[in-house]
Amino acid sequence: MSAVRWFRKGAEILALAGIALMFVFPFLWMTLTALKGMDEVHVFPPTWIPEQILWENFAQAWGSGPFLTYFFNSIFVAVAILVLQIVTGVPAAYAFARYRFRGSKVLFALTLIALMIPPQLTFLPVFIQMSEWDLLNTYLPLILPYAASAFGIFLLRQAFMQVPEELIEAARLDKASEWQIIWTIMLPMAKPVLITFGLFSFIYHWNDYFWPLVMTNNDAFRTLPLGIAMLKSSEGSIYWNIVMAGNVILVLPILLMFFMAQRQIIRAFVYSGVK
Amino acid sequence: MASVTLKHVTKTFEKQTVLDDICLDITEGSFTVLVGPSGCGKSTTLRIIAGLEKETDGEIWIGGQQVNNTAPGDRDIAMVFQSYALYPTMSVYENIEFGLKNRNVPRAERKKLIDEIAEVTGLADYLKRKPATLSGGQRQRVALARAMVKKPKVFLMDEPLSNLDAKLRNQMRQELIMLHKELGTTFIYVTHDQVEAMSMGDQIVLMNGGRIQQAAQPLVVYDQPSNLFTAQFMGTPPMNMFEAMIDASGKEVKIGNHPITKPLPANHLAALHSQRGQRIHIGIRPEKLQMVSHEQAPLSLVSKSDGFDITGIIDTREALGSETIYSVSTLYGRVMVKSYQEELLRVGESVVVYFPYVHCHYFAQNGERIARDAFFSTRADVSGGV
Ligand SMILES: Nc1ncnc2c1ncn2[C@@H]1O[C@H](COP(=O)(O)OP(=O)(O)O)[C@@H](O)[C@H]1O
Ligand SMILES: [Mg+2]
Repeated sequence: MSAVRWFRKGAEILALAGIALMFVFPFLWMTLTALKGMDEVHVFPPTWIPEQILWENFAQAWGSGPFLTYFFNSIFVAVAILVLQIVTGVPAAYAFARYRFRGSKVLFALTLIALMIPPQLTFLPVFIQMSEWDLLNTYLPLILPYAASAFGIFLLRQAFMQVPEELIEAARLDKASEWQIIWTIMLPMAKPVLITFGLFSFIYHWNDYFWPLVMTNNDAFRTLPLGIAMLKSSEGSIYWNIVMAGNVILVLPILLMFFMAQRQIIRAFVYSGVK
Repeated sequence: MASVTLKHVTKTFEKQTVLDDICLDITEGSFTVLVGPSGCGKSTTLRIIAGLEKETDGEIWIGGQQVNNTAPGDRDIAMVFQSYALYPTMSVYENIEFGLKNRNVPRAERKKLIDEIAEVTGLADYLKRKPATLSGGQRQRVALARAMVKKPKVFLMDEPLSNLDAKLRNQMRQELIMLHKELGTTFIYVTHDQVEAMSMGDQIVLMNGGRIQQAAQPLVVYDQPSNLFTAQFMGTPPMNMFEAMIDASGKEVKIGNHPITKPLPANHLAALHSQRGQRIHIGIRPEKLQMVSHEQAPLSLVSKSDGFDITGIIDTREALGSETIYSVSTLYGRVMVKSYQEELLRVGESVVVYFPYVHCHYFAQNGERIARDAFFSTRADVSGGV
């Protein structure tokens, strides 16, 4: 290898390391802070490595509210939403991709418009409706409004449209029903897109703060982000180390997910052109 | 095994008529080839038989049953697609199994059937592989195995060999012919390649512009083309075609402005009697013309043969080894000559081209073949056909 190429390679690695650092630093700082004592959080200049590692910060954060309930609620709500979104999104996407029916263009345009409306615009009527149905103190206001995902329908439709028509025809000749075609042929082929969407949806709803904040007034149905926000709003000064410990608890499952499904995720992102 | 019959089948896509009153009888156990230029409606015909496309009008019969309203999966047919259409997320085994599963064949029997087919198609070692890891030829075999394992009454194939390289294509051609012999099932095979049609079919259905031009045995299509289109579609290079004029007496024939050197024989003139005073087309295949260099012409035996001739100059020559294709410019216009002679003629050489009468075809102004008696064929098995 020539000197120029060595130089280029070096510069490339350096640039990548810089970018990686930019993303990793906040996580690192959060984790380190979560392990420090309260007096060490405020020293200047700041220390890198905690003088003494206080694992009990996590226990304190966890114990300062019904965190097990929050944790369970978060998982339950995010998973329930994802399952519903797939159950409703797959047939809808299949219909948009494969059937020609009256009004399909208008319906699809409406779906795309729904993609552009932020929840801050819709929460009030939804809230009032939920309250009229007397559903406020249940999981339903958290789950039902997200039971269908415009984004999911859009992504899956793109994936289904890429499946060659002849494949579906071959399946018809093999005596497969429409449902079988969807679940045993189309969906396995759309797996990368499904994973992309699944991650997106799960992370979005796992992290969601606004909607649960509006829709819950009872600890029994609150989710993790609300619980962690409440760490901050307890009276007196803010215990940043405890807040950060809470945040670590919040992001840990997602980090674990990324580590476990790393290869799949990269494939999914490359495939869906998000990269 | 089953016959397939189309009665007055019409198909329109958004006002564009793609199939126009197709009437077709496909004999039980035949190897029928639908052939024609791209866009003529071959695939549409096949897809209507399969039930993948809904006919606009007409009746479809398979094995004595009208199937217009029968779902594709219930028509007892199997189809091999040009793209093979293998399920990419399933293994070879699962690909072959899928149709059986949906027909509720018990697991043990499925395994037995698949193992048998895998043996026949040489796929036994590949059953666990995914289609993406197979070569084009192997995928082709999986597609065939998937079709065969269902033991259908009719096989439909839409240009199944067109994605293979020339050598493999030839080999698969032979294998398909053998397969048809062994199974005895009705094959309906679509191709745009006339060589494939001639070599594989025992029946050829030649289509153009959504209509059937001719349906007959291959050599009948070759020897007695039903119209101008058929004459020029089959054979490479295509049949030479000349505009000619028959005088009012019905005796004299001119090609362009040039009377032919020897009058047509009496039986030909009789056949052309109804065309007197009109324009016709005279056709002759390049391989039926005979050509000698101008100096040798008087000595040549061919000059004694029964036919007319024209002098010309060789423009181009394609020596293909077994045969040579010349383009000759003459007073009649460009004439293509295919020769199997060992000695080659030179480009620029002055030549005489002989047109034996027995090989002349006549077509009326509207393109239809003008039938004549004593049709010549070197092939005992087809003379007298039609
Ligand atoms: N789904 C369709 N919609 C509109 N036109 C079509 C459709 N399928 C085929 N056609 C048209 O019908 C004609 C015949 O097509 P096809 O049967 O595929 O021809 P071939 O197989 O002989 O090449 C073509 O002009 C094609 O454009
Ligand atoms: Mg076609």
